[in-house]
Amino acid sequence: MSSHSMTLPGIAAPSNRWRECWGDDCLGLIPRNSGTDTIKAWNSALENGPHAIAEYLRQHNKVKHDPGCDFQVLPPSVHNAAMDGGRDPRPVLKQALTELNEARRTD
Amino acid sequence: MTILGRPKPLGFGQAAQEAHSIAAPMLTAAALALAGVVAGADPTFFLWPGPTLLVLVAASLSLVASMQLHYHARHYYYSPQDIEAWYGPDAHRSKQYPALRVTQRLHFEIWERYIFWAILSFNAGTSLLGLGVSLALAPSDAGPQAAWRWVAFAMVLLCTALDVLWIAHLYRLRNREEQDEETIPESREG
Repeated sequence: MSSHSMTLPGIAAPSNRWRECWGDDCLGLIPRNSGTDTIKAWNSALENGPHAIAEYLRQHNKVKHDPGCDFQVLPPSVHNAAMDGGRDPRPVLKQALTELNEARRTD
Repeated sequence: MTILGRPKPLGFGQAAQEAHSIAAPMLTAAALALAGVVAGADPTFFLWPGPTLLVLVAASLSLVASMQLHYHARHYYYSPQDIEAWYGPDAHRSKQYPALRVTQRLHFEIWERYIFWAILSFNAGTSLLGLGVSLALAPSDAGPQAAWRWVAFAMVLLCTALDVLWIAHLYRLRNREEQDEETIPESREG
């Protein structure tokens, strides 16, 4: 595409619809617009226990992460909220993982 | 280890660099020069002098915006080789290296944000410039040169339309590549 871009005036911008996961060696593409997947909806699923969490992830977490990615069990809204801060998002993602693990134990 | 930020495809950064630092300044100069000609000429020389000026000035502003956005974005665009150049060839073995990678990734995301708008401005600028040139070519009367000018008007307008279609094609191509990359064979329930 770059050679096309240099021979004709029009050029395509890089995508602003996705961003890459911050998990180690993970190339998972996180959609920026996660639709009905919001932090509020996710927190509500966390409060409603493991079944609600599993159902929520089944519906909303369709990102193809690296199989070893620590953050693959977090929905896109959590990734986006962590990445919007302009800082290393991994501490926020780790905190979200801790909250998820606690919510799964409270059934 | 954190994946480094990188352009997709890898040559994209270089292509954007050439578009904004070589093509955009030349196109801006052309737009402003033509705007100067239209503004200084007898209004009867052009069929639509007012709209022509407006479109040419909008084209030059859009191209200037693309250069400025690119210049700002460029601060945040660097590779692992740049890190080694500044921190030494053994930078990747140093204690600071993981933090440097994180910073590079965060900076790269800033670059992506600004280059996105820079390219939109560049594409708008080139399209408006084509339109402005075609408007300037439309003759104001049916003199002996009118037929030639109408042909030139049509040619530039056609090429501008092709450029717009080309841009739309590139965006569609990019979206298709992304969809291929983002295949979703199964959801993750943890």
